[in-house]
Amino acid sequence: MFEAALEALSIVLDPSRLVFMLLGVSVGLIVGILPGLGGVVGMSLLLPFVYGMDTYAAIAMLIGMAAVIATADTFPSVLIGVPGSAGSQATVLDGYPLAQQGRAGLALSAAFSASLIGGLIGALVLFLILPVARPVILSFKSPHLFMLTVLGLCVVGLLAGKYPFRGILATLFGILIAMLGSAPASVTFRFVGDSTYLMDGVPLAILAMGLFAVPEIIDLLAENRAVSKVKTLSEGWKSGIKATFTHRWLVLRSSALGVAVGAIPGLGGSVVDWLSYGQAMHTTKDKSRFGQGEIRGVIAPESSNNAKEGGALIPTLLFGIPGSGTTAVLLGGLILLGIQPGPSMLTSNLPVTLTVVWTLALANVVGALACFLLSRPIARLSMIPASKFAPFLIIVMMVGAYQNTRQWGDLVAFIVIGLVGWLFKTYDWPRAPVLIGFVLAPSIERYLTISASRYGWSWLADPIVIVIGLVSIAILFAGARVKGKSQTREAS
Amino acid sequence: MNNDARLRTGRLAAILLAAAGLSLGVATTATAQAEQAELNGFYDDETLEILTPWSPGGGADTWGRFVAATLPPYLGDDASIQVVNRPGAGGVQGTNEFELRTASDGYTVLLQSAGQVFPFMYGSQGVRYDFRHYAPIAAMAQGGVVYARSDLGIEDPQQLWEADNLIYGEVSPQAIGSTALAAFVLLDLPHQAIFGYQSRGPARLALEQGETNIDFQTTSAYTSNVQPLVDEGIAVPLFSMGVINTKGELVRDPAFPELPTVAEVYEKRYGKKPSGLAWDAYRAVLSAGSIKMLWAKKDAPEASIEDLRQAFRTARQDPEFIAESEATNGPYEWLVGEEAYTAMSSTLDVSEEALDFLRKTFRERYDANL
Amino acid sequence: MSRRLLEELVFMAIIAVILVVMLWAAMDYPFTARLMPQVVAGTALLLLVIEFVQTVRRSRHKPATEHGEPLFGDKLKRTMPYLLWLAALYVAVSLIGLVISAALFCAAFGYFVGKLRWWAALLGSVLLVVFLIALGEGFNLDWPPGYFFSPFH
Repeated sequence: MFEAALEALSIVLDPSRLVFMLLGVSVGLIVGILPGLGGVVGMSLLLPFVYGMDTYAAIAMLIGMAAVIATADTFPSVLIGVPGSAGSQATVLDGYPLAQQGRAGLALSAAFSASLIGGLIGALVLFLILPVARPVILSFKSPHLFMLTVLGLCVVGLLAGKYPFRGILATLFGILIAMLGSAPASVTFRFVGDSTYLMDGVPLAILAMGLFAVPEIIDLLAENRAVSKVKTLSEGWKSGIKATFTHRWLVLRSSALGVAVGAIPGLGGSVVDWLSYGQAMHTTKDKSRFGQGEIRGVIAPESSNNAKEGGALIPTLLFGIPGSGTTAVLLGGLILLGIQPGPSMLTSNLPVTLTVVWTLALANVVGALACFLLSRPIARLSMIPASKFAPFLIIVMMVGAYQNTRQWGDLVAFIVIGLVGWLFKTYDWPRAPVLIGFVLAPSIERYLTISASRYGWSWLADPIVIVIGLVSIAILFAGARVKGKSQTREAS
Repeated sequence: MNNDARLRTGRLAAILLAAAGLSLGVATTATAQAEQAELNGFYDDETLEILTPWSPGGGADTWGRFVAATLPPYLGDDASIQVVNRPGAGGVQGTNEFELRTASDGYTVLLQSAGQVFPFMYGSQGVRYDFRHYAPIAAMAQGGVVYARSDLGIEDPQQLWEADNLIYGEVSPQAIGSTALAAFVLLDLPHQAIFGYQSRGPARLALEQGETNIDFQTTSAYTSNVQPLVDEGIAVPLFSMGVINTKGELVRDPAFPELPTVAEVYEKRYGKKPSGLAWDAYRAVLSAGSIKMLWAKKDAPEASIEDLRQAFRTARQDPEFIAESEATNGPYEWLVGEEAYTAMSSTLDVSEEALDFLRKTFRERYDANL
Repeated sequence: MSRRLLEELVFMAIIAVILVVMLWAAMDYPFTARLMPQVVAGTALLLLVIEFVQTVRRSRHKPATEHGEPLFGDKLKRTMPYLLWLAALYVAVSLIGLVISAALFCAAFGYFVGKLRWWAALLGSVLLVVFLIALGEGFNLDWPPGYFFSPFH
């Protein structure tokens, strides 16, 4: 396999293909930085060119694009507190406070170096576990996946926000928002009456921008200030890289976690960053700085966020089951190229698989370097008063929102969710769990429905289900106690 | 890479790089010297749009992109084709847009697949279109196979009735795989259906895990992902759905000539050819679920409709086009014009009684309101 | 009871009402469509009651001045002008389409609120329009059309 890997490397390094990878990377950077646009827009831009292209060049282009989005979407997370995609939410928790302290540079450079290493580890692990991944993935049945999703939701609910119950409640609200529109397992349209716009439910990008960006902009304007509360950008770019190397074990752990969770179909990328944020917190003695601008809270989610791309490709390549919107379009691209993902990816199509791995690694390096170059000028945005940049940001987000279905409903949903998000922010309700609940709702509903109709009640007695259930309950209690203590300490 | 392809990618690269990744349009050069004598030249130097009411990446979208990439040389001098995605409400949204807002100028055609046809057939709310008011251009009926886990102990479809507890995994009662459900109804085969899988892919995974034990996959997915299971002895193929030919008859699937069709299984079990409401219902669901088709507006310029049909007629006689089509779409026929309509007619002209039969059966068996 | 606490409790009560409506609406759905909303909305109602009590209890430990700023009052007064700006933008987009509204909005907002020089405000809005058109051409995007008039659509 190593010989084949070297051969694939020479395929990837062929200059005519490298050009296409760079092209994919630049498209990925653009759609990653602009809030509201994401992998699906990028893929649909590139897809028309794929047919008839050299197979390896086309793969390099598509993977190059998909790989750097997780790096580039750190900009909006850190600088305006808006998660650039579902996978970069946990970064907001500490990245945004850092930007408010004028340390956006530190946050960004630490994030990019962590992304770079995470992406490389993701590619390496993808290479190592591809041959053995099949039986492992097959061992997760619907009840287990259901419990894992519940576990993920518990972790997110606890980590986000001051009060544990509000966190959990917020995830439930997110799930309920996702219930709007057509039900996954039947031909029922739920809670939407005659609205054709809502038949498809609320688009994810609109929910994310509405919940996070609108409240932030409104409050910044009302307080008439910039994102940063201090006047100068402090701390250099080197300190960020240094921080990543100081916490190298954290980077390794988070990346490994990223690949593993990313590979589980359905659970996918959206909780990875939270789980690794949680383990960063768990393994740090002084937990008080988390949420106030702790650099570990940036490094951990960012490294796992990029590593998960490697993991998410495992079900896509081995089973032809896409793990996310981006991988779904990637799958379409592969089919257009005449490649049907499946077991053959390890035999006759091995060169294709190895090209994917190498491109993933290379694109991560290139993407991280490009982000470093861009980060200096872009970080200055955090110094500009909101009244000067807010109108532009609002317009860009409206444009992004409108691309989801190209109906007026997009703009209406954007502003309505924005105002609800503003109420949440005003009354100290966490918003991140809403988004996670929303993202995971379809999978959690599928797994619950399938478990209930396939196994009746008996699945609740499955040993693995019981173990995961107990772990979730333990996490809930432990988390609630820690939060309770810190509140009494504050009060006294 | 052959010379033509290099030329194409070269030009593509130039366009893309010049505009720093901001360019669009489909770069196509005539790779085949097609016979264009009979064309009206409607699409010379013009761009045809294929309105695809789903996000990029799905099966129907891929089929549309195949047409967009391979047909232009047959359509006119320097003609190009572009896929335009308008996702929403499972395909209903974009098709409504085609009905209500698209001009009848001949420069836009609609891509039809299971997503819009089922809501149309069952008369769901929000459907504003009627395929019978459009002009058929070209279609392809793609098949699929029903297979089972080998530990059920079945080797022949006739043994299905002896197996206890067949469990079938499905997305929803209105998804593509409901073809399999309609087949089970026709065969009067007792089974349990589990709804909620995300797509056919996870449903196949469920069979591998043993969560289900009987499953249906379309040809491309079967070839790449189920055939290895058959070779390993994990799964056994049972029967094919059959394919509708140019005369509207159900025949053996060219991709699986050795497998009996549903109709043959029925005949062997019950000693007579299938007929009646259940048979009508099955054929309606089959053509709704398996046919992908392009439609133009009926009041579009005559010349445009003629040129489109002519392009497909020329293309399907070109061995190179057919070879490419077989590699991407499987060994299925291209049906053009009235042939396409005939194939689709068992869905479009289905009787109200057959529909009521389907609605009643699905409500009783699966608690589903079609 | 402080004003802020009252507002928070009303907020939760409104959410509770929405949950009850969802529970009620879900009763007619088939089993597969009903299971999840009922499980989730039911759990949420239960937790909401607990959180309601907790919020009241927490507030007892703190003096009323530390409860946080109520929304209805100074905060809304400070925010109102910007909400009105947003509303004006939406009305403009619905009438004359996005691109022209965007140009007008950015120029006006930059000049009156952002205190930019007139030429800077103008330059900003011209750049934005150029950016929007480039984005539209490059990424094949569409803009919201206006009721009266929608260039670039």
